[in-house]
Amino acid sequence: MGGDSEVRRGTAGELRVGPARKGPPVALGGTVATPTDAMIALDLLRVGHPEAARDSMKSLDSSGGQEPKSTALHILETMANTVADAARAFLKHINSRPVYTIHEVLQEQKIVPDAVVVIGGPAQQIAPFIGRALGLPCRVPDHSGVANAVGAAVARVTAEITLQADTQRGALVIPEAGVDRKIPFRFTLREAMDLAREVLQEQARKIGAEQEPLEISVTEQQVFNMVRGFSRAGQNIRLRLSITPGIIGEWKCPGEAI
Amino acid sequence: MEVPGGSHMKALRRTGLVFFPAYDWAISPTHPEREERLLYTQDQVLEEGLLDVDGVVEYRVRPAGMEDIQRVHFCVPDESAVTTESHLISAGGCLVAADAVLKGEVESAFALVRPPGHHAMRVVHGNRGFCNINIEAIMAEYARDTYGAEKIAVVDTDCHHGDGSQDIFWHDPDTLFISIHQDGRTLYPGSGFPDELGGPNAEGKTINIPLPPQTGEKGFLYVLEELIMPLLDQFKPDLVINSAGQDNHFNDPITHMNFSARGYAALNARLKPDIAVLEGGYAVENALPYVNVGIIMAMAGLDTSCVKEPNYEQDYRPQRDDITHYIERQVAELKALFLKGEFKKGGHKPGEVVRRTRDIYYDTDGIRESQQEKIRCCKACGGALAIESASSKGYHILAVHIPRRACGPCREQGRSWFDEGCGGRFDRVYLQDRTASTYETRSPI
Repeated sequence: MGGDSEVRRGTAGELRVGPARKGPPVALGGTVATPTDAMIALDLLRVGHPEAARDSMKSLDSSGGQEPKSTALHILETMANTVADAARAFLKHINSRPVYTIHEVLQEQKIVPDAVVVIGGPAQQIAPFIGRALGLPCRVPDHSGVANAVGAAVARVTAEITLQADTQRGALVIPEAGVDRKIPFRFTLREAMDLAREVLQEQARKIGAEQEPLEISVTEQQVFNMVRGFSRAGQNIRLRLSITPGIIGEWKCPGEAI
Repeated sequence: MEVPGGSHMKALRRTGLVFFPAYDWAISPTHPEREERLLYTQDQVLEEGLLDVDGVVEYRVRPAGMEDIQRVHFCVPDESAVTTESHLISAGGCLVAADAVLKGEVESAFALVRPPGHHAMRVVHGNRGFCNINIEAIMAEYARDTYGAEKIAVVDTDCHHGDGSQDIFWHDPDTLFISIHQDGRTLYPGSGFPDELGGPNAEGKTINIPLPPQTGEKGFLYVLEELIMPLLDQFKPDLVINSAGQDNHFNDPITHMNFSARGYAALNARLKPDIAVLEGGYAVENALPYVNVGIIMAMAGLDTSCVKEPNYEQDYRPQRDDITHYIERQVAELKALFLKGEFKKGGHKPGEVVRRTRDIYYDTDGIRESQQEKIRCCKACGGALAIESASSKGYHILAVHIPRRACGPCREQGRSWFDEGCGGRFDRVYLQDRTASTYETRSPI
């Protein structure tokens, strides 16, 4: 969804924003009303032809008695509510992610946001609406229009590997790196960890990671006894390691930190 | 084993899955109830892409609260002494499953949690048969209090007799408890015979179906069709819970039955429980992964004909004829007793107080308990219940239970037993008043 998303009436007459884009805003020569037209009609944005933007608002008015500004407000509120619903659903998804150990259940940390940062093309104009929809204070950083691109440019190259070792079968695999080798029965968690670190660094450098030293996170570490009858026949070691996501070392943020 | 269609499958019935393998909890390092018990199940479920099936929803567990345990148990001396976090989370996983089904988010749910619970009785001094608290009973009482599900059927298909569940539901006329298990003369806990049929206020609401060792697919499905389904039709429950132990499997190391993954899937598809809860099952590599995949697919209404253990062709033997005949005779007798109601009734008069004395052994913790129980016979409700219990750990307690929807005289009787106990020689006196949802304890000495 963005400033150029199509605005239309749904089957029940309700306003719908996006997800299709049917060309530029009416104020900029397009044929279908967009949130950008609503912003122009409300004088939140000064580009293109304001008269055309106001006309496009009238074209969406089913009753015929609405002020263009009131239709425009309704569009931006609808857009903000859609964004807010998606944000809430995403939070719920993160917070209800299944966990498989007692430790994780007890360590449960729910993410409860206390502010919203809005970035993207129409951030400045839509931010107050999103803040109201979420009931949270809202901020728009400098260069909000290109913040996403800056983020992509300064993000670290990351990689992830999973290691599985079975000392009973004497086999170890790291599928992401094509590692498939024999291990001795006495192979330990420590040896597995050393090997995984080495392989991950190699993998990351292959795809362009440059910083020194590479920062590594262990996201999963499990060792299970494999039992035959009632005695231990071997161990099953499972590791998941990744390059810790973050910002490349050379980057110095010139403006305010978000 | 290969599931046709893989992740492009769509569930015919929306199915909730609550998976809690407790990868950081074991009774001891080589005990059957240990960390990796559900590891291979998780691998198999992921490999078959069952979590990607449209309509199969995975839920996150939450720990059960003290109030959830206190609806069911009397823990001695208290809850924290006999439970660990893992027990609370396992019970809580069942509550999540109940929420999902009773809020209507899914049609049925499977709580694949550990540790299990069906050997835990109403009074808890420690661990019996790998169980501390009864996760199905905790779920059933939660469902009653939270969603008003009154009539509940618990069908226990674990290979071991569900003696804990039987004890908890013994006096409850609103719960039909059916246990199908390997004959108690040949397996722990040594109980579960047809003459154990419920207390004086709930006669015929406990039904035990002992089966001979080596019972196969044919025998289990015969008992289900001929006996269990008609019993459920007669009882008309609001909620059907399946204690889905998986140790009837021909690969299980601690039992002697001859059931299979496809058999479990067929059983589930016919029984159609609202909620299934994992109980026992200790062939962690060569049975559980296939049985669990079979149960999930059956719950979701998917075709389970492909569900098969790698050693099925080689090691599964069809049921022997003599076993088939034995089971047919057994089922005919049980039908007469419970479908036609020909079982012997106690003939107690309303208001009469009936007593029984029992000795209970906690095999995992090596505790001995002796109980003297009294129940007020009542036509109007489940009856006031008092249990005097002494254990080899040195505790001596009195536990009084007033059932949900108790009548006036039974409430009064329960209260007066509690008051008498408070003036007595007990370490602790408990009152679980289900009419008021309260739980009180006193320590007179």
